[in-house]
Amino acid sequence: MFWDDASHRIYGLEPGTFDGRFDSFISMVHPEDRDEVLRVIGEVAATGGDYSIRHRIVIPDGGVRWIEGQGRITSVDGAPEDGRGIVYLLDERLVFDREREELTAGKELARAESAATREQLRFLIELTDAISGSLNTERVARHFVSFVAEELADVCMVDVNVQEPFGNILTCVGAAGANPIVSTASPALAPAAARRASMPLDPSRAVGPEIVAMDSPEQESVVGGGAMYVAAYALMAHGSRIGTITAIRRDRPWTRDSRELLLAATRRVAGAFDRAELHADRSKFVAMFQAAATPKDLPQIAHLDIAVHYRPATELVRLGGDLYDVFEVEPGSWMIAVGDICGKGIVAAGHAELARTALRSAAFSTGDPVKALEILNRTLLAESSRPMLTAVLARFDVTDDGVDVAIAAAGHPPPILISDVDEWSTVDTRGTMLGATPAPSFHNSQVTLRSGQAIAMYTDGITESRFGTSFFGTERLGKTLSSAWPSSAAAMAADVAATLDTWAAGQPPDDILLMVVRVADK
Amino acid sequence: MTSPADGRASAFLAALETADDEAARSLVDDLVAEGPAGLCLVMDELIPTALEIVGLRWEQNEWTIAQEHIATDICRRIVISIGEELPEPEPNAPSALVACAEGEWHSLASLTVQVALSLAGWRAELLGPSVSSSQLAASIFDNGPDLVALTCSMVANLPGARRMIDTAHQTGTAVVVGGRAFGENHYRSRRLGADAWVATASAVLDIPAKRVDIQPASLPDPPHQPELRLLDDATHEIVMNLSRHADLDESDQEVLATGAVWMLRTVHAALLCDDRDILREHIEWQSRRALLGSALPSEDVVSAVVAAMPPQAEVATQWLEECLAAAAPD
Repeated sequence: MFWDDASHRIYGLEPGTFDGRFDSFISMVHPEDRDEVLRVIGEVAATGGDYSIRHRIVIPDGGVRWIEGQGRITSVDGAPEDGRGIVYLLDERLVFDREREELTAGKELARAESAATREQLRFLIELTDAISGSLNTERVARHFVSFVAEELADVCMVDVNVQEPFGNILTCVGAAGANPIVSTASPALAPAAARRASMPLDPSRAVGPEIVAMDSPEQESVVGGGAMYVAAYALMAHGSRIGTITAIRRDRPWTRDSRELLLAATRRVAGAFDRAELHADRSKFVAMFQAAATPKDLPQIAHLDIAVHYRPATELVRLGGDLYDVFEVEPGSWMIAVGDICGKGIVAAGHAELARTALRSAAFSTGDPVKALEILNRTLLAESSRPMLTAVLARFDVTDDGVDVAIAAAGHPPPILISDVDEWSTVDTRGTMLGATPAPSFHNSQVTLRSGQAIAMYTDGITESRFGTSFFGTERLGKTLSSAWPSSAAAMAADVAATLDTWAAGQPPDDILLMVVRVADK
Repeated sequence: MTSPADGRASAFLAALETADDEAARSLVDDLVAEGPAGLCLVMDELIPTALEIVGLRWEQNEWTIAQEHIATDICRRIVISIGEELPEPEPNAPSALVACAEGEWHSLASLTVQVALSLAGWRAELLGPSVSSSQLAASIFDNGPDLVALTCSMVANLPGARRMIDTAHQTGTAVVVGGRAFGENHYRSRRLGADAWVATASAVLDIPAKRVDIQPASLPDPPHQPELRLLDDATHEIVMNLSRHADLDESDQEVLATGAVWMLRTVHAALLCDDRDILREHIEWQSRRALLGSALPSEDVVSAVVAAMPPQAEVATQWLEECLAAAAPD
């Protein structure tokens, strides 16, 4: 190695005293920097090329100096042939400032990164809060597009397949500061939505402008002019494509972070949509069975004032199979039935539908309550799913003197007869539960009702409601009904419902069914 | 009641007393024909005031329960028919669910609110009387409303109202409340976490569609949280002990236990809202019912509840004793 006079001075040596040996040079490099210097020089020496390295040296009086060496080494077949370079003495202050700058820049970068991470976390937490509470597809879509349009993009749009109304696509568009717009249409009527919902996606590529073409001018104005940057992701749930999220930024391109955030948001909302559709399925099933087992509209009957208080449990595990029916078997003769399937849940609800249909056809075929129950029993025994139920069936014949009632029961709580203010009794009914044995026994009880008198049929959801230390019970039911005399059937039923609620506050309700049939005032 | 309707108010009440629904209907029709102000008068003044008087007369044994039922039924049918004459809401109309607080069986207020919302162009669905929070949640999921409107007239049902407000907020739905139990200003509704309060049914007309801001899903703890927890744990035992009260026969034991259930629910409401007036209102109502013989004298219930209170329930005990002192004859 050959050093000029200036190099000698930098190393604190008298000019001409350096022995030119590489080892002597290395011994002057600060021990902490030695490895790095050897590494850099070694690499460049092997291949040939330029180097630039900043390191400390230790001068003979023990002082430390910062220097920067730059140069070029040529090599032949992996062995260094020639090298030339220059060395600068660095001002210590400058070195210090540079180091501090680097340190500060690193800190700021770290701070910015951690702020960005916190911000992303906040975004995802708030988004999850906004969409996870609802099990309603439209509501989830509204919350989602509003949130994304406020936080991440200027416009956000969801196209998602929905079952209700069947086989349609729900489109929801939201822009910052505006209420989202929702429309639902079949693919044939909304081809743009259908295209969007199933379009092939390449997340790395902005989607063409045809994707943002809206279905109506009103929605088009939401997008407006300006340079638009579109990001779109597929909504995936249980392995299937259920729709598309499209988000548009105006005059600001998507960054890697914002895309990742949109993708994370898309995954979460896909789950929310899936849950909402599953809930809709379940509700539809339950509603369908309940509508079939517990008709909303009862026929208007001359001389009979009928009220039903029916409140099914909202939790599926508590949902029972209550059923009732009112129908005319012959002109002027009406059959009224109340029943309760053994068991809970969606299977009970399905059995209730079956039992009501079977009960009705049995009653039509005979007109006699006892015989109708016998036929129903045979029908149920023939069913492979073995439904069992308790029921009471009553035939009402309007006569000149009042109303004749023939009642038969099958393992069911006894009907209550309300004859005057604070006067009530149970109707004596004994009978076997339906669907349990091939040889049941049923009995006919006969009652005549005068004007204002009433008969109440109910399921054990009423009498077995908790009331203080005990159950609500038949006694209290009779008392409550007869104290409302001579109110309408509806008022009597409402009084019972209100009394039941005294002790029920905050408890998840079980099925409750009460039917009051009162002879109307003439 | 405002002056132009004064004569009509007494005529309306007379029609209810004689169960003359045609006369009642024609009085309402005349007011409705006068335009929106007349309709508001019917919903905010004529019917609520008349029913309040009907309720008092029943409580004072001047009217039978059947008469009260008939009067309520006439009013209900009038409000329903007003609603039926309104045009269908627009396809993209904002939607609302209207519900009575859990335990609340006075559903006419919610029916009136439903009609008022329809009048304002909302698509309003009525859930009917006494809705539990799980039923409310199921209906919110099925209907996806922009707003839940909640009515409550008895202060003992305010804890139920709070459960429903929480439930609605968990689904991201805003709640507007109204009814006598919420008092005469925002105070109680804010404490219970509602997003808006209306003084009258027709005040819902001023709610801008879809622009009720939702409060955070989780409310800050109410001021008396430790005592509320204590009472929650103790309620069942207090009531059970009273229902076996040694000095009373079986039927009075049950009346006392039922009175205590209502009283404790009211204590809960008062602590939730940090408002002792709630207790006073309930005790006054209880006293009127006691005159009917359908409840024990309220002082008896309060004394029994105070005696059964856990000693750590200091605020509740103090408030109940204050109410008792105020009610005592001089």
